This record gives sequence, C-alpha cells and structure tokens, in this order.
Amino acid sequence: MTTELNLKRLSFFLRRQLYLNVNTMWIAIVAVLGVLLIVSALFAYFNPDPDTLLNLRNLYLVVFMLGGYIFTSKVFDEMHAPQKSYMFLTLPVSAAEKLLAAWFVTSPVYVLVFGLIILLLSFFSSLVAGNLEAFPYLFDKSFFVVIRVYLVTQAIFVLGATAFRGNNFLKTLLALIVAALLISAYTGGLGYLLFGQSNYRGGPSDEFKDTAEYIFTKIIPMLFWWLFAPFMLLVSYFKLKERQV
Amino acid sequence: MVELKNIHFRYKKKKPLFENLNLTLQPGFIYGLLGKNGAGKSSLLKHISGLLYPDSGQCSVFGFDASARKPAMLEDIYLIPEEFNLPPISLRSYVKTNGVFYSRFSYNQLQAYLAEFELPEDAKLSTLSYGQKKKFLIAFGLATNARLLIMDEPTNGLDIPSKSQFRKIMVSALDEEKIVVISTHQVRDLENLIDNVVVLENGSIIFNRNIAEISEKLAFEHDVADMPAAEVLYAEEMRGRKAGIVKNAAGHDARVDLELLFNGVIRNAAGINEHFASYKYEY
Repeated sequence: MTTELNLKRLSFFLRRQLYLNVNTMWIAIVAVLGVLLIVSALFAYFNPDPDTLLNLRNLYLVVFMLGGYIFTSKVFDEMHAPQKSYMFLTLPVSAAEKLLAAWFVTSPVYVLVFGLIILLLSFFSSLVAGNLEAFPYLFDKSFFVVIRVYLVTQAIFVLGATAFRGNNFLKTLLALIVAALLISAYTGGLGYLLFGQSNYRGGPSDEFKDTAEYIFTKIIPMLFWWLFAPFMLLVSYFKLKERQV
Repeated sequence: MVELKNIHFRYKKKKPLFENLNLTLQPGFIYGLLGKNGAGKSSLLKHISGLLYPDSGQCSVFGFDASARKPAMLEDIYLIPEEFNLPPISLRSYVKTNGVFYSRFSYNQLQAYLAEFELPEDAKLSTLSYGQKKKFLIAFGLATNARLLIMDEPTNGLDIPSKSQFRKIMVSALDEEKIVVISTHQVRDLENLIDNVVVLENGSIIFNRNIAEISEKLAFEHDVADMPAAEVLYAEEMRGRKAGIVKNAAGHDARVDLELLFNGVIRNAAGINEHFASYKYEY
C-alpha cells in the first residue's frame, strides 16, 4: 500500500467515512424524505392535475441540487475541525484517495440515492393524485439535464469544501456570486471600452457572428460538460495536498 | 531517522518561529521535548508529522519528505495531540475503521494495552473521560507499531496510577526501530523514561543531550550554598535553600532532576553547553 492510488485503501477510507457519518446521513435522509412526503401528499391530494405532479418533481430536483451542494460542502468537515484535523491529515491515505472518496460519495452515490428517493416520491404523489399514467413523463429530458448539471457544478462545492474553513456552503455561494459579478463587470467594461464610445452603428460582421456562435454553441458547452468538473477536482486535489493545520 | 535541516518557519503575519532549526532523531530512543509556552514545541511536532510545512529547509522522516504526506510515511507516524475530539463510536468500531490503514497494526497488542489501562473494549468513546480517551489513543498509537510515535502532553489528564502505567507501557513498547517524541511541561512524569532531553527556546534547539551524558557530567544538588561558585552552573532559591546544577567532578552517575535541568538550561544554556563541549560520549 505505497502508491498514491490504492483501491483497497480507498475502500477502507470510504467505509471509514460512511461509518463515521452514517448517523448524520440517516437523519438528513429521513428528515428530507419526511418533509417531501408530507408536502407531496398535501399537494397531490388537493391538486391532482398533471401540472402539480410536474411542479412537485421540480421541487424534488431543487431539493436534490440544494441538498447535494450542502452535503458536498460538508464532506471535508473533519479536516476543518481543529481537534479532528490532525487525525484526518495524518491518516495513511493519499490526497487523491481522500478526494476520490469524497467525490464518489457526494456525486454518483448521492445521485443514485436521491434518484431513488425522487422515484419513490414521484410514484407516491402520482398514486395520491390518482394519476399514475403521468409517472413515466416525470422523468423527461429536463430531469436528466438537471442531473448532468449537478454532476458538473457539484465539483465547485468540492473545491469550496477543501478551500474554506467553516461555513463552506455559504462561502462557496458567496465566491460564486463574486466571481459572476467580476466576470459581468469585466465583459461589460470590455464591451464599453470597445464599442461604448465609438460611433460605430453597424451590426457585428458575419465573421464575428460565426466565431461567437461557434464559441457559444461548441466551445463553451464542451468546456462546461467535459473539462469544468475535472479542472475543479484537480484544483481541489492541490488544495488537499497543500492543506496544513 | 527523522532529520530537520535548516528549517525556517513563520506563521502568517507573525515574527519567525524557527530560524535555521536543525534536529536529528535516532531510532531506539525516547526524546523528551521541553520548552516554555509558545517556544514552538507543538509546531515542531506538526512539522515532523507533515501537518505544517517549513518556509524553507527540509524535514525528512524515514527518508520521506514529511510535507508530501505519502501514505507509506504516514503508516509509520502516529501523533497523539494534546487536544483531540474522538467520534461518538465504540472503541471496537474506532479500531475497526482506523486500524486497517496501518499494515503492522496488532490487535493483540491493543488488547494488552487496553487491559493495562483498564479500558473496556465495548465502551463508547463519548462516554469516556478525557484521561480515558487519551489512554485509548496511546494504546491505539502503540498498537499501530508506527516507527515514530509523537505525543504532545501525553500525561495531561491522566491520574496517578495511569501515569505509572503509561511509563511502564512506554518502556516496554520501545524497540531499536522506534522513535518516541514526548513533548510536555510536566517534566516529573518523564523522569526515568526519556533517553534524550531536547529543549526548545524561542524557536531554537538550545540543548540536546543524552540522559546518560547529563547524568555523568552534571550533578543536581539539594543545596549549593556552600559550594564554590566556579562549580555551580545554575542555582535557584527554593524554600530557604539553594538548589542547583553543578559540575559532576566525581563522574559518578547522578540522578537527573529534569525540572532543575530545564530551568538551568533556559537561564544558562551557554554555560551548561560549554561544560559539555569538550566531552565526547559514545551511545
């Protein structure tokens, strides 16, 4: 067990993390499931039309995203607790294994578990609404797009979980807002500098349009779907490697 | 072997803590790391265990760069900090989930240490007192068979019988491959236990000697009032008498009073070290 990535050690670490946090996870799952069951039962019973079921499905997805981000933000809590961090950091597990385990639990495992919960809740609400035939339509294309968006954007919160000490979820949100504002200000400022004070009144050239279209429809989606999450995870890896007490 | 070479370190926005610190720890010895509050003892232990990185210099543990925190190195280090927070699970579960990471972990040894400390295996960690938790961590750390065992104030919170048990266990657990570093303010707890005394002051190692060497070169006297001043290396007022450290002219092994030695080294490190300078001791 000397290499940076050892599957046996990874499985031991996964087992350790799940075992140490199993009580908290069960409480969170039961609490969320309970609240969603009550809300679903009330809404489906009093508004049994297909739109209500779709709105309920959307509510589940919002809870799924929010819950996933919060869960991810807390995945390295042990490392940030002053009296626990020594144990986490001196445990004979590499940074790559710690990161991989954290990502595995908060990404595929979380999607699978919450996916099952959504399946159950959707079935339950369709049953209460007496509209079982609407059940398959709840899992349309947009449902899977949301799952894919979560799988990508969740990596931002993995980075937030490694970078911030305490209140990781809120700090990550704040960092996202600040980043969005900075990007908006930069692009707005750049646009103003280029076109704001000139007397140019013509539209963009065809060449410019083609380039912009190519960037926005090909390059950016490709970067987002395939490179964004690995990049965030790579930065998180270095954050874990550099982490001191 | 643990080797710290030319370590420079400062906490953010603070004055430098370590400036050109050098220290070598050899296997087969128990090192007592002594120093006043804020001298840098805990920071030094954190450097050795890879929890803090030096600004410059090199810290290597059994040939590994400590700051790389490679699993192969971490398997050989067990750190027992002064303050810790253990999860609310049973001792057995803790051992089951954490012991697997240490390839030389011995369940038999652990059981023996737990029995010695009178700790029940099925107890929940959350129901144990601070002292019992500390004893559990010491037992667990020893059972990992890590070659480097680092303890920060291990006897804090231990009752009197537990301190004796601790000394007994530590002596029995040491072998020629192991390095034990014990940092403490409670020097009396280390008497008859440590092999080397390392004193840290203002981020520098001001004294690093083997206990046999100290015992042969220095004598710790109850009252030095009537002794020639040239023989006295350090003296302090103590309830109507003058306890002190004197040159051990006879060369017979003397009992080392660690508290007096520490006070002497802090106040007159140059004088005491000078006395050792012309002395070569083989160990």
